[in-house]
Amino acid sequence: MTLLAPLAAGAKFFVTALIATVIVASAHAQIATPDLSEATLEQLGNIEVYSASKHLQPAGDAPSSVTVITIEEIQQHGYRTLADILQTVRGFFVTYDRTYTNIGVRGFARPGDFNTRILLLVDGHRLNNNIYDEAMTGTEFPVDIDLIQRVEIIRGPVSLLYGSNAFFAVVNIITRQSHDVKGLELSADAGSFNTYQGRISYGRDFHKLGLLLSGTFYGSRGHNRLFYPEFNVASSNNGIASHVDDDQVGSAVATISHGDFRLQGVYGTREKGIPTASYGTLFNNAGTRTTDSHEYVDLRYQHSFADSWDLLVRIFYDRYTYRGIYMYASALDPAQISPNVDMGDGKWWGTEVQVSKTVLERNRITAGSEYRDNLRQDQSNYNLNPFSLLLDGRQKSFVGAAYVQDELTITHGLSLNAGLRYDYYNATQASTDARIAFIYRPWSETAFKMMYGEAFRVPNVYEKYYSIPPNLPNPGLSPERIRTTELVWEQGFRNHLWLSASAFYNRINGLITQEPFAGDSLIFRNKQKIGSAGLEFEVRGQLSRGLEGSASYSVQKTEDELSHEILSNSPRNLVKLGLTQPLFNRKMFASLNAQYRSRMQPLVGNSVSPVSVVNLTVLTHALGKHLDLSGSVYNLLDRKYFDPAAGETVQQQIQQDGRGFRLKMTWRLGDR
Amino acid sequence: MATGGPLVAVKYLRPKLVCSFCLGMVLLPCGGLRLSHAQSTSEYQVKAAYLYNFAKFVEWPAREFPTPEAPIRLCILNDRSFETELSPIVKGKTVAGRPVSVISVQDGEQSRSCHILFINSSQSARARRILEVLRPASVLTVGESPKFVEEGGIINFILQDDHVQFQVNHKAANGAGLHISSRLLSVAKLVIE
Repeated sequence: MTLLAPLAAGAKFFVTALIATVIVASAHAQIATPDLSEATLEQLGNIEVYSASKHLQPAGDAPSSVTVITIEEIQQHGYRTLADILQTVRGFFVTYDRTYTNIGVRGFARPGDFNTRILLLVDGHRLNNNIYDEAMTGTEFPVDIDLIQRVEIIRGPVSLLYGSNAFFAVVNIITRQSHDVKGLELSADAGSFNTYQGRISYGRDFHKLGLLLSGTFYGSRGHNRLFYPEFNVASSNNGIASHVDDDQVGSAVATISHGDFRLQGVYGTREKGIPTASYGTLFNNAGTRTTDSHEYVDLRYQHSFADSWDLLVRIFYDRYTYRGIYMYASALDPAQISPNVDMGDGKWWGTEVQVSKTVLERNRITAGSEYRDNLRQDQSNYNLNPFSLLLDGRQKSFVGAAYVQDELTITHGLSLNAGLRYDYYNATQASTDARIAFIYRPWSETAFKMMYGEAFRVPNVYEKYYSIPPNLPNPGLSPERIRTTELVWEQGFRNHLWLSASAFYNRINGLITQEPFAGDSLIFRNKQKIGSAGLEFEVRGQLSRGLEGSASYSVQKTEDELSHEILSNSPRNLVKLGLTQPLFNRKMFASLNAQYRSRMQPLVGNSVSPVSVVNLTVLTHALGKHLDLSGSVYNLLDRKYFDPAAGETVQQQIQQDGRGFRLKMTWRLGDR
Repeated sequence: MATGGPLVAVKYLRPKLVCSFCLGMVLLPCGGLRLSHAQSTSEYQVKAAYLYNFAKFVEWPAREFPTPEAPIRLCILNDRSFETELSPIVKGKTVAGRPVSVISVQDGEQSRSCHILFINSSQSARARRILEVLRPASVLTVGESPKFVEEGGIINFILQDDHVQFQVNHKAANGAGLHISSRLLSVAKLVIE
């Protein structure tokens, strides 16, 4: 509590100072809006406007079902992490085991893997690392959420353009540029569980050169006490994990752009205390923790030539490291601790070229190639007391790929999008994938899409070579493959309303999944045929200057086609709701979002009860948009709920956070 | 522990502090509102008014109008909601004796008969191809995407600090046989010669 006394005093001071400043500032000149039809060119240029929400305009021409989340929605809803954003997206669900965050899509969230079936991109740069294939979406995501301009979620298999991992969806993060920040921007927030975050960003355009620099620190002490009934014995503190849920993040982004060139450097590191005693570690020991770091530089050149040529060239270098320290009782003397160190060390570089050109008026041809060289894909594991090396796996590999796609306008309103891709892997089987989509727009606000696509995911080195008990290696794993057929109907209505309905059928061959083997061991294997069918509905609307929002419902069934068993971690129904009410001439916004997830069966044990969570945020723009203040309440109804665990914990279900708060302020010290 | 009550709901932030903060936020914009009468306007209302103004400051070749009273055809590509913003602004208005009619189009072919064509940002992926189809025609193309003028569009809206501004590709206008008045050029943020 003592920590909060200065905060309380500071907040009071701010509020008083702000009210005074706003009253003084607003007493000064404000331009009266002229009758627009009589306004002169000069007058029009002086009218302050609010920008319309672009998400209402359907991406009707895309050969996929697409969702876009903008910076305005992120601010208005008080989203804290990328996972918070994805939680609200139709067909997506999020689970957290208090170490890593997992994203499920359309009924799929395999226990024991690390988000390997969605491809995460930052400005087109691949983020899934080269050891675990992991797309990090919780606090471990290396870019501050405040630096996101928009998030594009493309559903369905998109391997055609992106290769491995673009299995269920691609999530592309578009970051803010120098001209979006303009000057100095400072942000600070404080929340429940002793969570604090600070950010400093600076953006400026010097003639043709654009510069953006940003750095963030985040620290959370986490829960003081977490109770796990599975450990409720005197020898493990009666099941209470005390002060072992901490979370620290440091991240930085630098972007320099000059004409068609853009150079971006990203660095992010996160250290998380593990309170769940996973992998049989000692309960309530603060020494058990993981650190994940990802850094990269990415140079991009993008140019549109005369004669309808477009060129994109990218070259990048990435480094990813993971270090986990796990505290065990020594086998020789149980009173002593024998720490185990588990490490992953990845390094890779790569290059991409993409060209597109319109030919014969009706065809837009896109062709490209990429090459990725995994310089290092090492995994190691050793005990410290006494020292013994248990794993020293060193791997290298490369992948080369080429693809071609044609967008053909057949007649008025009817177009065809078809393509083919070939991926060569030196460490596993090559893959050939095709996609074909018909898009029919009989009227301007109506689109029908009929799509078939194939995608693949190659087994990663963790799945193939990690051999620390209970895991057994399986170097013979093959790529898993998916075929998706999807029908989409998108309909706009005059009255600012947009509706989308979608039906999909997924067929997966050789799904890589972790299974018990020979008693206590676990092994990754290619499982035969999985079938999944589902329906999704979404409506988005905006009343003129008033309430705007979206609602979606997804229903699906995913089963093993041989045994007809429903797959684990596969909720049948998902409901999402998001509402924003602008107040006081759009100077303030009250936003509510809610998610429902139906009952699901974890890997082992009782089913996980249905979950419904409501979050509320109030955001104010003050001082002519120089200051943003927001207050959020997460899990407003204080619902007690659980997420399924994977095989690494004794707990079959992990309890999630109850009600939590966050207060946030952002200052902009530039010309607005 | 038998009741299994949640032990995790530790609340660090005092409700009182939260309340006073929220109250402060509610009061802030009230103060601003009462004193200023500021009207905020939608981006697209302003863009609609600009389109009407462009009609006043651009001259088309005489052959583009069959009769002296023939209307100026202001076309909107696949955007019904923008049409509803535009229609009231041009309703009953004339430019040099010509009425202005708002027309909805779906592709480049249909747009050849337009005098002004507005392509919104959600259609920007198609903009390039449509501009190619329209290149020889005397159509004032208006867009709102970053590369619009580079791709051969004539006028492009940009949003600068919550104000709608525009850029003009004078070269493309000349190529299309359109004469843009110096008044319009002087207000533009960027003119490509």
